[in-house]
Parts: sequence; structure tokens; C-alpha cells
Amino acid sequence: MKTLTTLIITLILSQTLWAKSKETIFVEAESFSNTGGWVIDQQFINEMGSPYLMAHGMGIPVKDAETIVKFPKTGKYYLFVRTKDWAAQWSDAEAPGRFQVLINGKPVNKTFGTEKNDWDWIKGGEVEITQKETSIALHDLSGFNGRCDALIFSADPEFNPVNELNALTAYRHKMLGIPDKPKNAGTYDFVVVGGGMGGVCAAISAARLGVKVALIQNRPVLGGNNSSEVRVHLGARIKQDPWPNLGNLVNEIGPERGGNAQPKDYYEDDKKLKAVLAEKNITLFLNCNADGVEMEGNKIAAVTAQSIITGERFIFKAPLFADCTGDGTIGVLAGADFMQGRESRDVFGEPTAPEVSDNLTMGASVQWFSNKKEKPAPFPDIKWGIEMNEEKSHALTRGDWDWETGMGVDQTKDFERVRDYGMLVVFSNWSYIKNHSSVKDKFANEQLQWVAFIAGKRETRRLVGDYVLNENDLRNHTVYPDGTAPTTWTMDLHYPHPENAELFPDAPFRSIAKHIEIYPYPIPFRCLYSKNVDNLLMAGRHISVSHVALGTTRLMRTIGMMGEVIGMAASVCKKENTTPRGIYNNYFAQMEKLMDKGVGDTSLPNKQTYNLGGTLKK
Amino acid sequence: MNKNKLTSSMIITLIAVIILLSSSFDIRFINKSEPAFHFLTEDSINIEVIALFEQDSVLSGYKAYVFSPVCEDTTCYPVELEFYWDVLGRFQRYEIFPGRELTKLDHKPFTDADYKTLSKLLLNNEPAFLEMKREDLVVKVKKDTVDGYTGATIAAIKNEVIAGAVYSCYTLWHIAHGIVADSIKNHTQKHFNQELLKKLFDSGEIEVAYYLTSRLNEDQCFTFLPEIQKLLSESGGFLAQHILDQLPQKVISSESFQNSMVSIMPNLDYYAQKSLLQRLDGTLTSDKLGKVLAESIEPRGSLHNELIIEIFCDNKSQLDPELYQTFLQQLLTKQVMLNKIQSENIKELVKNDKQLKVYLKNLKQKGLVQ
Ligand SMILES: Cc1cc2nc3c(=O)[nH]c(=O)nc-3n(C[C@H](O)[C@H](O)[C@H](O)COP(=O)(O)OP(=O)(O)OC[C@H]3O[C@@H](n4cnc5c(N)ncnc54)[C@H](O)[C@@H]3O)c2cc1C
Repeated sequence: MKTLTTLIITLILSQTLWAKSKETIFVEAESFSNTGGWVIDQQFINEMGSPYLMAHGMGIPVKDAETIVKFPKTGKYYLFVRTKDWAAQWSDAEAPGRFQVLINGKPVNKTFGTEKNDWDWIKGGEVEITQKETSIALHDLSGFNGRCDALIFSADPEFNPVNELNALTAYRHKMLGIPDKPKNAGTYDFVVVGGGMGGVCAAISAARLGVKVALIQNRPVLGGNNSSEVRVHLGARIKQDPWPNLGNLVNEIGPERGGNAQPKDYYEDDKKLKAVLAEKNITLFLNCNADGVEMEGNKIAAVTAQSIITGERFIFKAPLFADCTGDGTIGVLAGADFMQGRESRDVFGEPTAPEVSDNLTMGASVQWFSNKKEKPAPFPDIKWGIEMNEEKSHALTRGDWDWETGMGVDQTKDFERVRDYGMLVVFSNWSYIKNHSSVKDKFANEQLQWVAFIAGKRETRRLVGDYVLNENDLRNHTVYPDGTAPTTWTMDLHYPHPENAELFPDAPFRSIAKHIEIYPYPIPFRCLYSKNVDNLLMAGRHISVSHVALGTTRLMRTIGMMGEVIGMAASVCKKENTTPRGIYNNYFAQMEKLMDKGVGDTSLPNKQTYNLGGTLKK
Repeated sequence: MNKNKLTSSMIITLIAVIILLSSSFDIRFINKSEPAFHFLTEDSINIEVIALFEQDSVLSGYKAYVFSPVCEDTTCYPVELEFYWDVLGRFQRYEIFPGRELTKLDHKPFTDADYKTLSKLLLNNEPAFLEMKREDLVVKVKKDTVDGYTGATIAAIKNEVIAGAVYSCYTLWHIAHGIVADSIKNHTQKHFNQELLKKLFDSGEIEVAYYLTSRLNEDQCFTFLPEIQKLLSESGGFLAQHILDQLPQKVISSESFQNSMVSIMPNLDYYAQKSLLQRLDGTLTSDKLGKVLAESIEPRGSLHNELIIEIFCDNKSQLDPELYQTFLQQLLTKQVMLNKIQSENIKELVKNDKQLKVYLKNLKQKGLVQ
């Protein structure tokens, strides 16, 4: 039996990745052997080139991150640190994310995180290295999200690091000795990318039906938005007509308690992990970010990925893939057709669609909460935030789903700005409430306990399938013979909160929801595979639906059931040696029989009874 | 208007009001009510439910006198009111008794707003505390005094309950929505009569339709066949499927029902059709419906096709021989790939029939049979 340690290939090298050319040494921050209180953030690799370390202390400086670097020789080096002043785009005041580099415990004479509003190499000046094995540490000064991608020590006074993304990646690989050819991570029947509810259920479902699966997830935990990193509770209904046995799997792995932005244990990360580890047919790759594909004609032959800790590269081969990234990343890499923004009314004749198409998507959320302490808990009176006053601020102890921003921004390309703004408003608001508000006495003992640094997304790209589900299908309950997971939540679309948008016209951060109730509606199988990439299934918020229809399909219990369904499809593809479209055309009866049974445990009581949402069935 | 006229008109109005009052009193008085059943609350309080009737024999709803102790924090006090449900056990409203108004923590009387909140809560089928245990409703917070603890309602339910009466809310909701709802449904079924069923069908409510169609006996189904057919043709969601899953087998097997499905079946959604097909296996008696089935065979492989093929292979003796030709012709025209079991069944089907054997030959030629 595989043990836990061999099963979770977390791809951590025992030693920090640091690398040297003759006189230059490259140190990846995320590879530090002890990351202390700093978190690894991989959300923006495609924007800035790498995972990085961030001091997410909510105003309290975090513990040092530290590693030992081996130098080829002692002596004088020039230090470069890749970082940025993340709030500079909104404020000229002193930068929030300040930190120092410590060499053998002594700070270099320079404070980092104070300049450049985009990622760049900042000169740290001359440093003296007196031992071949030297401790290098990142020392946080503020607790407000200082960040460091990498450090370079060069003995060459003329040295100038590259910053252009492609050149930098090539340089990184060269310096770290990462070969051009990725390591073979194995050949599977089915490779699932993304470990949110969709990916986890797809992997388990396929595995239970005898399919050999690799599950690739770019975080240390499973669950995606339902993990303790984002803290969104599951919504919508399982066990619905016409497939009342779909969803037992969601019930097996889903948390028993509801609530957004609640304490960590509400989200039961372990339950999902254990469920995956219990399947002998699944090999789990945590901390592994998929970033490339190899194609053979219209088919994906392999997916490549990078460890977010060591930078090592891997290749996964299979006849069938599932994109469960939420962003349709694998599809887009493979050239799949996709949609983004709102379709105009004439595209599908949807009553709720705008006359003219636009780029409005729903936003992303940085949720948060505070806890009451025994003693007063001061919070810095920050100057780098956005301006707040009685009218603009919110005297709350929790930021729920309706703290939402970035609508209309391309959240696949400019997401660091969206996430950072999400954090900025939380800190700005809190600082005002704690230090200036008329109710500040009431908040004296409240301490900011948790602010997400992994922003929760709702909508980016939607991949085009053989069918695009739209509002009219849902409103008129026009069901199709290839119906699968029933979607039950209302068509729930978000818009900027009118008052907040008036107060913050450039970037509102509160939202409202508008709902249209529907009958439980089985999502056509043709929405769960790409139209032009022949071996790509999908489950998540990026399936083939219109912007309006996404209002209902993006709920995570529904997405879990989509996962269950595409896991079944993987088993039929394997058995009949066919493609997803082949299933639709020739073998759908087998799918119907599988959906009739479901793959979950039918004997468990239904614990998925919170956050069901309205439905017309009642 | 002079004074006399005013007083006389006032008197007339007064008389009218009295007549009105007494007549409504009369209706109430004449209307029958009878003890229906008892149930135990989660706190083991025995509650008697009374069935209410209009026009003597038509059930119109239920009521119960609810008297239950509730403890908020450390003080316990009785809660006393009357609950009303409809014939499906759906909570309708409550009434309080004069002089016995509800109270909150520290014996503060309910305000108007509290009564409204209670009403709203009791009418909500899925309150936030639905799955919570009683002990999860409040968090213990330390009071300023030594050893003193007080409960603070947890944030998730705060907006739906009354501060200082959280346990009353919880207890009363569970009485209104607990075991009683199912007991009422069962009791109502015992009182089904023509008038009540008619009234229920006429309500047009989807929940009522679900309830009715899973509880009617064969005779009642035949009596209300037009109503059922109407629901099948016009209902939304998955009601049609549910009805076809639930109807007694005798109804499904009857030729009258099957003939009525000739025009309805093609307009049913895929899932309702599938339920009907599942029920028709071995019981297809209507040639007309058989023709509709044969013609609905589709080129794409689906369970729908498999079921139709099964129906024809299992029904041989009962149907018009010509129908089999139509069926086999459809398989040919739509080029349906038959799996091993289906191929065997088709061979068995045509075994003793020369004409049908020709179709098998053609199917073989096209490579559709294994
Ligand atoms: C604040 C908020 C409130 C919401 N409220 C609700 C609610 O109440 N109920 C509800 O059901 N839904 C709710 N939603 C919507 C729902 O959370 C999303 O639609 C849902 O997360 C979509 O699930 P998913 O599996 O598609 O994506 P995710 O949950 O994002 O999962 C995808 C996973 O894949 C990983 N991944 C992405 N790219 C890669 C890659 N290249 N390589 C490896 N791994 C990758 C991600 O890290 C992530 O863990 C809410 C969303 C937000 C933001």
C-alpha cells in the first residue's frame, strides 16, 4: 500500500534551491528551507514569472523566512532582490510591504518593498560574505504583504539581472539547473488539473470506476474556493432530479458546516485530502502548477507543470485530460475556443444579457473576519490605504461574499492588482474603523484574525463546448437528452453595489446579487467537453455556458457533481477507447446508467443541507 | 345630513356589522372539527392536532394548541399559542391568546416586530439553523461578573431569530415543521374525497401536485385522469417524470391511459419519456402508443433507445405484428448500433417470422447487429 508520504508528492527538495554560475548565485524565495511566517503565493506566475514569498501578517510582522546559501567563495557580492511596492499604484505614502534581507542575522543596509509598482530587481548594494555557508533571511518590518520573488548575489560589479519574463524564466532555469526537458511524472488514463470541488470529484469518480488518475493542484490543500485558504461554503443542491444519486460524492467530502469567512476548521481540508488519498488509483501532485501542454493534432498529448516550491518541471501523459482549473487554463493553452465577458442579447436571445456585449465579469473576493480579544487590539493607522470616512467605511467584523472587486478586469492577466486592491480596501477600512470611526470604541478589542491572500474567483473564461447552455434553456426548462449534473441555484449575477460604486467610481469593492429562480436543470454533457480540443473534459466555473447561465452553474456542489460526471465519462472513454464527443454520439446510455447509480456513498445521511439556495421545485 | 338620519344610518351599519360578525361566527361554529392525532415534540411534549373541515366533510386544514416550556439562558417559562397548518402540513400562521403574550429573556414582552419576526421565521422552510443543534445556536461569552456566562446568538442566524428568544424560535420552528408535517400528510390522505381532490388539483400548486400524484389509489387516478393528463402536458420541472414514476401500475398498463399518451408522450421532456418507457416494459398494450415509441427511436445511442428496444423485445405477443416492422425499419433508417444483448434479443424476436427476418438481414448487412 502506498503510504501518505509517497502518495502526496509535494515535490519539496530537502534543501533550498539556490544555484550558482561562476560568480553569481540565484536564490528562489519560495524555496527557502524555512519559510517562517511568510506564505507562498503562486497565483500570478503567468503575470510576473514565479511563485513568491509574501509576509501576510495583517499588520503584525511575520517570522523570518530563512535558508542556508552555499557560496563558491567568500568575499564581496552585489545583492539584487526581485520585489515591488505593491500599494504604490494607489498611494504615494510610505510603502506597506517593507522588509529587510538578513545575512547571518545582520540586516543589509537597505529596506526593500519600497519602490517600483511592478516587479523588478532592486539593488541591495554590496554585501560581505564571510562564510561559504551563510544564513540568508527575509525579515518582515510591517506585516503588510511585503513580497520577494528571488535574490541574486553576484561577485561581478557589472552584473545586471534580466527582468523581461521569458528571458528571466530562461535565466532562472539555467541558474537553478532545471533541464529543458521536464521530468516524466508518469503515464495515466486521465490527468485532472485543478483540485477544487470539480477536480477532486472528477478524480475520485474516475478512480472508483477503475481509471488511473493524476490529480494536479497548485496549492498545498485541496478544495479551491471551498478550502480554508479562500473559505467559501458549498452552495446549491445535490441529489436532485433527474439524477438523484449524483451528489452523494459531494456529500462524502463536503464540509458539514456552512458559512463564508468562518474559522479554518469549518472547511475540513483534511476530509477532501483523505478522500483522495483513500483512492489507490489516484496519484496526487500538490504544490504543482500546470502551465503548458503538448499537442498531437487536436488532442492534448501531455500537460507540463512546475513545482511551486522547487521550480522543478514535470510532464504528465494521458489519452484524456480534465480542465478543472476554474479558469479554463488548460483549454486555453491547448487552443480551445473560449468566451469572456458578457454576451450581447442577440447571441443567445437572452433577456438578461446586455444589448451590447462588454467585458463585465463577476469579481473576485478577499474575505476576512475579526475576533474579539480580552484586551484592546490596536491596528496601525495606515497612510497608504484608500481614503475612508464615515460614509465610505463599513463597521463590520466580517467581510463576506459581497466584498467583491475586479469586475471587468481581466482576472487571468491582471489578477495581482485585483487581489491587492481587495486586500487594500480591507486594511483601509479596518484602519479607519479602529482609529477614526465614530464606533471605534466598540471595535477596540476586535482584532483582524483572518484576511484571505488567495482571492476567490467567480468568473474568468468559459470554454466553448459542443453546446453553450443559456438563460432560455434554464428559464423555459428546455432539457436535453444528454442532461447531467442538475444545477439548482438561481441565476445569480453580481453587479457593483450602486452606493459603493458612487463612492469609489474607479474601483468599487462591494457588490449586489440579482437572482432568477429556476427548476433543477440537468446540464448537458456537451457543455462539459471542449468543442475543438478532442480529449478535454471540464468541470468548474469555466464550462460551456453563457455569462447569464454561469449565474447558476458556478455553485460548488453543482461543480462537484459535474466532476462526478466527467469522472464517469473518463471511465467510458477508457472502456470504449473513445472521446467525450464519441460518448455523446454512441455511448451515452452507459453514462445514464452510471449517473443513475452515482459513485458516492448512498448510505450516508445528507449533510449538505446548508446554503441550498432558492429553487422553483418548492 | 341631519342628526336623525345620521343616527339611523349608524344603527343600520351597526346592525349590519353585528349580522356579519354573527354570520362569520356561525360559519366557524357550524364548521366541523375533530381530533386528528397526537405527536410528541423533541422535548416530549404531547400535542393534539385537530382537523378542521369546511362544508362538513371537506378537510380544510389543521390546528393545535401548543404549550411548551422554553429556557432562555437560565430562566424557563411557558410558551402558549395556537398553530395552523394547511392540509399538506405546511405551516400557515399562529395565534396568541389574549393575556398570554409571548415573552423574551428577563420576561420582557414580545414587541410587534418580534411577532413579525416569529411569523416570518415560522413560514421559512429553510431557516439558517435548519441543521444546527440547539447547543450551537449561541456562543458562550464571559460576563463581566465572576463566573457569569451569557449567550450571544451566533452571527449566521442572527437576522432570522429574535434576540433574547432564540430558543423559543428554535423550539417553535421545530414544532411547526417537525414530524407533524408528515403526520398531517398521512392523515389528509385518509380524508381524500371527490371535493377535496378536486380542490387540490385546482390549486395549480406544484407541491400539491407532487403530493397528490404519489398518494392517489387506482380508482382515484382513473377518476382524475383528465387532471393528471393536464399536469403531464403542462407542468414544469420534473413533475411529469415524478407522476409517471408514481402512477399505479394498473393505470399505466390500461389501454385508456396509454392511448391518452399518444398525443402527450412526444411533448414530454426526455426524462419524463424515460420514466414512461421504464414503466411500459412488459406492459405496452396500445398499438398507437407503440407506433409513437418506434418512431421516437433516435440515431444517437441513449438509454431512451435501449428502453424502446427492450419494450419491443419483451412485448411480442400483445401487439399488432405490423408494429414490429415499423420498429425494425426505424432501427434501420436511424442506423442504430445494437450491442450484443440487443442483437440477441432481436434475433429471438424475428425467429419465427419470415417477414421480420428480412429486416434482420438488412440490419446485418449494414453492420448494425453483432
Ligand atoms: C466570495 C465568493 C463567494 C461565493 N459563494 C459561493 C457559495 O456560497 N456557494 C458556492 O457553491 N459557490 C460560491 N461561489 C462560487 C464558487 O466558489 C466558484 O464558482 C467555484 O470556486 C468554482 O469552483 P472551481 O472548482 O471551478 O474552481 P476553484 O474552486 O477555484 O478550484 C480550482 C482549483 O484549481 C487550482 N488551479 C487553478 N489553476 C491551476 C493550474 N494551472 N494548475 C494546478 N492547479 C490549478 C486552483 O488553485 C483551485 O484550487 C463564491 C465565490 C466567491 C469568490
